[in-house]
Amino acid sequence: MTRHNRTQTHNREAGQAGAEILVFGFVLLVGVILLVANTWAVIDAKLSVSAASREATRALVESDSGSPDAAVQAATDVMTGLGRSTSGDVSVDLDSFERCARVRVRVISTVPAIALPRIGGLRHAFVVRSTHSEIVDPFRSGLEGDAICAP
Amino acid sequence: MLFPAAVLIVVFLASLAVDSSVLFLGQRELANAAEAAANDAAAAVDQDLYFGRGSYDLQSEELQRLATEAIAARLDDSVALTAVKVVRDGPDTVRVEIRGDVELIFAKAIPGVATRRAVHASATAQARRR
Repeated sequence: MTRHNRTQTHNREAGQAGAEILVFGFVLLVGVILLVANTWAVIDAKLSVSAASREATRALVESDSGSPDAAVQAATDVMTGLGRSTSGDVSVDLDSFERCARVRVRVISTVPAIALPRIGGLRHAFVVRSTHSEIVDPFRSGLEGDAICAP
Repeated sequence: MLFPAAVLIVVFLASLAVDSSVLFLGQRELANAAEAAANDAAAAVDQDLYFGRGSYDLQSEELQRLATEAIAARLDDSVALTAVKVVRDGPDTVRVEIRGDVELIFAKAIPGVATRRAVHASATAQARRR
């Protein structure tokens, strides 16, 4: 092999390595962007379910009837307003609707892993949940019983 | 040499973003718990004073109990509680301070870096007539 041919081969190999690095770098960059975007999606979902559970609890303790439907409706409204679907994952924990009774509402939402436009997400999904708890105001009107939150 | 360094930097930044997010969520969770606890604790008004003179006086023992129950009822396992302090700031005001630890995800892969970070939150509530 002449000196001229050796130089040509060396240049071709250098070009090949550069192309491989570009492809690898692109794949890595896309992966990192997807990871960060997915992380943000989970944060956004967590903030949404936190707001939904808080509003649902508030709606229930302020309602006249103490019906869990009020909480479910409030949570659904919040999630819909934030562009999310609860798909019925709102659970209400309430023994009896009276003063000082503890109300606990849990809202669950799922975030698909690596969701892409028009393609969708992978089968694995992150389950994001939030629970909010509050006692029924002991001084509120419209309920029977004493305003004493006994242990 | 430049490219491997760039890869490491990108991966490090991504892991930093994820861990910061976990920390942020833990802090928000703690802040929400503190607000809920303070809100519930403000119901610990002395009944005799309230119905007798119409003034507010929060009972210290009751404050503690209501706040602790509220925190236990809502906190999930994303934050490990380390301290709860319920302070009666005045006759009608209560302040709840909570401290906790958040476990990070990618920090475990880096030797010498703390895998847990302390977060804290406080909230104040005042009993008053609406």
